[in-house]
Amino acid sequence: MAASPPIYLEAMEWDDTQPIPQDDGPDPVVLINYSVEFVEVMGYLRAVLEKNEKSPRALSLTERVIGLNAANYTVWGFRRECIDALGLDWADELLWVTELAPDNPKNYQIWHHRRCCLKKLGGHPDELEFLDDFLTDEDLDDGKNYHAWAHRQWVIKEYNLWEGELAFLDRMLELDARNNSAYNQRFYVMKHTTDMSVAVREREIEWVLAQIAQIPNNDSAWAYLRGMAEGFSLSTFEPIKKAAAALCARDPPPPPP
Amino acid sequence: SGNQLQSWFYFWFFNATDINGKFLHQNIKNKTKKTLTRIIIRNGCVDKNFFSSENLLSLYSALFTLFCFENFSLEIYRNFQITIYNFLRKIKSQKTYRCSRFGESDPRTFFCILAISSMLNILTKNLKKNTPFYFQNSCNFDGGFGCEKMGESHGALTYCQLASLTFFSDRKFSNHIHPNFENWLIKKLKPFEFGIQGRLTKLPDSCYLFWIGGISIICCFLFPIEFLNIILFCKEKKTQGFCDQIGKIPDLYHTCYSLCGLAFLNFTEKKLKFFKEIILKKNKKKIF
Repeated sequence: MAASPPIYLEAMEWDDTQPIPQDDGPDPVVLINYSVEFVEVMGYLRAVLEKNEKSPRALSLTERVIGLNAANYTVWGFRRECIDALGLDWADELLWVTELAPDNPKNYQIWHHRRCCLKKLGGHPDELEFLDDFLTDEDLDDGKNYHAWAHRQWVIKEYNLWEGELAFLDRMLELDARNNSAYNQRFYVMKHTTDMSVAVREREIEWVLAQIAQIPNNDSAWAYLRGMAEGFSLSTFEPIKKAAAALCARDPPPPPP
Repeated sequence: SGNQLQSWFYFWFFNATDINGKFLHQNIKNKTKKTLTRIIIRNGCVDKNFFSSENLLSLYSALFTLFCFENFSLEIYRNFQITIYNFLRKIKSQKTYRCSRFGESDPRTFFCILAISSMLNILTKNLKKNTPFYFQNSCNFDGGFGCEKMGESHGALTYCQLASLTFFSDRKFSNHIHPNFENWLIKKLKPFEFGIQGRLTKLPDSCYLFWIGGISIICCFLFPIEFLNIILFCKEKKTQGFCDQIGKIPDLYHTCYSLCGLAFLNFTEKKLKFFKEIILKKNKKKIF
């Protein structure tokens, strides 16, 4: 049974290929009402996957599929294989996937694809800037985007971009003092760039106590304080002793019985 | 390849009805069973073209939907064991598991592997090989677990890690629990904000009744019955479905996990009653 020529794809380009329909079984339950475009494009994708055809038209087909369903795992992997097979520039690919980021901020595949591009390129000078913009974008309003922060951690560690990270984190905390991701990142930076000696910890504890003084019910700050003091007795740290003394002076504890 | 979420729709729906004890017509059950069985395994291996091409998470949801129904015949069960075992061997990278041939790896994948192989009785030494290193030092400074070492602690990912730990009966794994872990967990219960959060300083969400509540159940931590109120308030009037926060649009995902949370609360309440009765009996014995 010959299929009719494609409506959404270029008919002349695809006249040598038969699309493969989705097989939901003979008696399917809960059929999803896909759009005509989706059915057509997926049909041709299945055909291309079957033939393992890594051509320019296959590449542009993957772009179509991603536009309709960015969560499809297969198409991303296949796209990467096409780019390798065609010997295309991964920097262009990185630019292309950057365009998609604002519309799909919580999509695992896009972030994973980004990471693959960077691995192929051995890093990119604009990557950190992209992440800076993404996390501080007012329209997106997603300063706690889990994928973005996880990606940032990888980028910084992989390409040794620790310098300037603390300054960025200060900026993030200015935008939102309760940003737990920023606090987590600060700990990450401290762990990797310092020896986490008592002196370092004390300095950080002093810093976080200042944050707590401004917003006493900031859960993230308290968690950070606790993390910094981990493994040591609290009386090791002068700032803590001072803060505790100040609290006792303001609000004396009840006398012992 | 089919729509990525399709297998999850199946799972959320059937799991929710299963927990609720709702009656489903045998016809629907049979149809679903047939469709899923036929589609998960095709040509002797895990189907490439359905449920997003051999993707572990989709496989997990499809299989566990099937497990909501009655048991299969021995022939089908054996077929599943062999085919899926081969698939699991294929996606194992050195010290952990990927989602698929091209995919990412994180606590979710590890948990899915253990859950699937345990249900199918194929959790072999080979599958577990080298993976215990995965737990070493993988928790975050505040006691929770994130997607990678030192990734921000997240409720659902912590659940996956904890649940994975239960599959290893080796006692030394309890060392991988941070001393602050219980505190981290309790901090996620936000009675004033009327819910449970997944990360510090984020908004509460009803699905964390399952993720955080689940950890409480596994570790026998506090899980107060008062959180039942969240379920009642997150239930939307018109559809009777559940949403993530009060007043939002309900969906299958939150319905499924809110019901799971309800089951957990029921379990905690029953356990509490049971122990109260025992203590009461003991006290009575002392008096008389």
